[in-house]
Amino acid sequence: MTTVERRFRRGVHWWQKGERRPHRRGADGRAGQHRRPEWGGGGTVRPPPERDATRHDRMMMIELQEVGLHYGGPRSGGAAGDGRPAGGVDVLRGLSFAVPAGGFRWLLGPSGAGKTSLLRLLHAAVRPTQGRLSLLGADIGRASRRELPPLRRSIGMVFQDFRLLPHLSAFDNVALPLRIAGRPEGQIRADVGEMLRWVGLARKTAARPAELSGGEQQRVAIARAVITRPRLLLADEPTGNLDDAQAERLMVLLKEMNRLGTTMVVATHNAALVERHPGPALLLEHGRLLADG
Amino acid sequence: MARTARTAVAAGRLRPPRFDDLGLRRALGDRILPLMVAAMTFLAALALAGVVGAAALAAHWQRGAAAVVTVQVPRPAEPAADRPGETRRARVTELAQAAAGVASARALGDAELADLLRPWLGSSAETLSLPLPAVVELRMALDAPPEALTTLAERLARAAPGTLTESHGVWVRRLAVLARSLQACAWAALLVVAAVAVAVVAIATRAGLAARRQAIEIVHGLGATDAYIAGRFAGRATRLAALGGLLGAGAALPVLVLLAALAAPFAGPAPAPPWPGPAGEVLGWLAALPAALWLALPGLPLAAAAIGFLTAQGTVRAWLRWLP
Repeated sequence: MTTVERRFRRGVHWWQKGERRPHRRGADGRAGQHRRPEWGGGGTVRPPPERDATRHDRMMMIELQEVGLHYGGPRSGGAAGDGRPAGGVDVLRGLSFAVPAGGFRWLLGPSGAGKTSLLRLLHAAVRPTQGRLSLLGADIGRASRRELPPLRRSIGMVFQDFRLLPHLSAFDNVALPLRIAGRPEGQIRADVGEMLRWVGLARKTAARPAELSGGEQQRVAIARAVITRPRLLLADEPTGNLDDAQAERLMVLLKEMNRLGTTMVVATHNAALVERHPGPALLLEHGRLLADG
Repeated sequence: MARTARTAVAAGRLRPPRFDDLGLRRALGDRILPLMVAAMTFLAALALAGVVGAAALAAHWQRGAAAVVTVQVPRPAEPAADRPGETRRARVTELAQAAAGVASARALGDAELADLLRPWLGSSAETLSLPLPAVVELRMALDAPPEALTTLAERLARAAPGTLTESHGVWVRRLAVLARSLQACAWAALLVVAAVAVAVVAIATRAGLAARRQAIEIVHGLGATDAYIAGRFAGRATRLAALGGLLGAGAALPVLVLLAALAAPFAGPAPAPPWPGPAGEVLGWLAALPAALWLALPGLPLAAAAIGFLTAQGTVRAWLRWLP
C-alpha cells in the first residue's frame, strides 16, 4: 500500500500534505469530507442512499434539462435560416438529469449510445445545441468563452485514449494542469512527484508516453485528471487499459475521492466492475436516457 | 526508488529549461521562419536606405540647383540705364553683389564664356564676332526669402533693360517631385515588405496550429485560456522573428555602409578619418552612414519581433474561436 493510499484510508487527500488550505467546502461553508458516499455494497446498480440535506448536498453539480447535441449541419432545411441543407446527426436527445455535489454516476450504454458525447458536454468541450446544461452552477449554453476555462480547470477528465502529450515526460504531462493554473513550480514538483509515486510511476517520471505501456499511460492520464483536485471528475473507460489489480486500485482512489466530495461520472463497458462497485447509473441508448438511478 | 525520482525532480532534469507544452520547437522550426524574416528585414533595410537616401538627395539637389541663378546681360559694354558712367555688365554685377539674399555674384570671364559655348560653336567660339551677352552667376543664400530673387530681377531689369534672370525653378520643382516619388516608392516597398513578413508569420503560425491541433485541444480541455495558448505561440514567433530581424539587419549593415561610402562623394567632401590606418578608414565608412539609418537599423529586429508577436497572437486567437 502506498503512502497516498494510506492517507486516503485515513480520510486525508494526498494533496493536502503541505497545504494549509482546508478541504474544499460546500456552498454553506461546511467541509465535505464527512458526507456519505453514494457507493453501495450490493451486486446491482442501486440508487444513492439518503444523505444529510445540507445546502452543499442540495447544490446540483450537473443539471441537464432537455439537453440535445447535434453534430453537423442544421437539423432541418432552412431551420437555421442560413440556407444550408439539412444534415448532421442528433447524438443526444432530450436528456434531463441532475447529479448533486458529491454524487456518483456510472454512465452505461452500448457503443454509439452517446456516452463520450455526453462526457464531452459535461467537460464543457462542446455546448448543447438544445436545452439547458448547468455545470458547477454555470449555464454552459450562455456562458461566455472567458468563463469556460476556469470551469474546465475544476473538471477532471480521463479520456479513453489517454490524450497525453507525446513530446512531454510523464512528469510534465501530470504537471500540465497545474502549470496552466499558474501554480508555483516548487509546489508542482512536490505534488506531481507524490502523485506519480502513488500511481506507481516513480521510476518513469522522465519517460515519454511512447516509452510507457497502455496501462502506464492510463495511470498518467488518471494522475493528470486528479492532480488539480477537481470538483467534478469525468472518466471515459478509465480501467480499459488496466489489469484487475490496477483497476481495483483505481476504484479505491475514485471511491475515496467521491467520499471526500468529488462528484463523479464514470463511463464503462465493464459490467464486472459495476457489479463489484455498484452505484447509481445513467443508462444511455441511441442518445436517449433510458434510466437514471 | 522514490528518492531517485525526488532527486531527479529536484535537479530539474524532468523539466526542460523552457517548458514547451505544445511542442512548438518542432512545430515552429528555427530555420525557415527566421530565414524568411531575415530576408524581409534585409529588404526593409534597403527600403529604409532608399527613404533616407531619397530625402538626402532631394535636399542636396534643392540646395544646389535652387541656389544657383544665371543672369544674362545683353550688350554688356553699353552704359547702364540708371548710371550711365558704368557698363551694364558692371552695374548688374554690382547690384547683384549688394542685393539681399545673395551669397555671391560673379561675372564670368570671356574664357569661361567661350568654354560654355564650345560644345555648340566648337573651337572657333572665341574668334567668332558674335554679340554675346555677359553672364553673371549668383549663388543665393540658403535662407534667402523666395521673393528676393523676384525683387532682384526687377532691379536688374531697370538698371539694364533686357537682362534675363534664370532661377532654375522649373528644374528644382521637377527634382523635388522626383525625390518625393522616390521616397514614396521606398515607403511603399517598406510596407509591402512588412505585409509579406506578416503573411510569412501568419502562414508559419497556421502551420504550427495544424501540426499541434491535438495538443492545443488537450491543453484547451485542461482549462488553458486563449491568452495562454496564444502566448505560447506568440512567444515562440517573437523569438524567431527577432532572430531573423537580427540576422537581416546584420546582413544589411555592410551593404548599407558600402552604398553610403559610394554615395559620399556626391554629398560633399568626406570628413577626414578619426585616426590613420585601416581602423580609422573603417570608422570613416561607418560614419558615412546617415544618422537616421543608424537609428532605424536597430529598430528593424524590434519591428520584426513586434510583427511576430502581434501576428501570432491574432492568428491563434482567431483560430481558437472555433473551439468552445
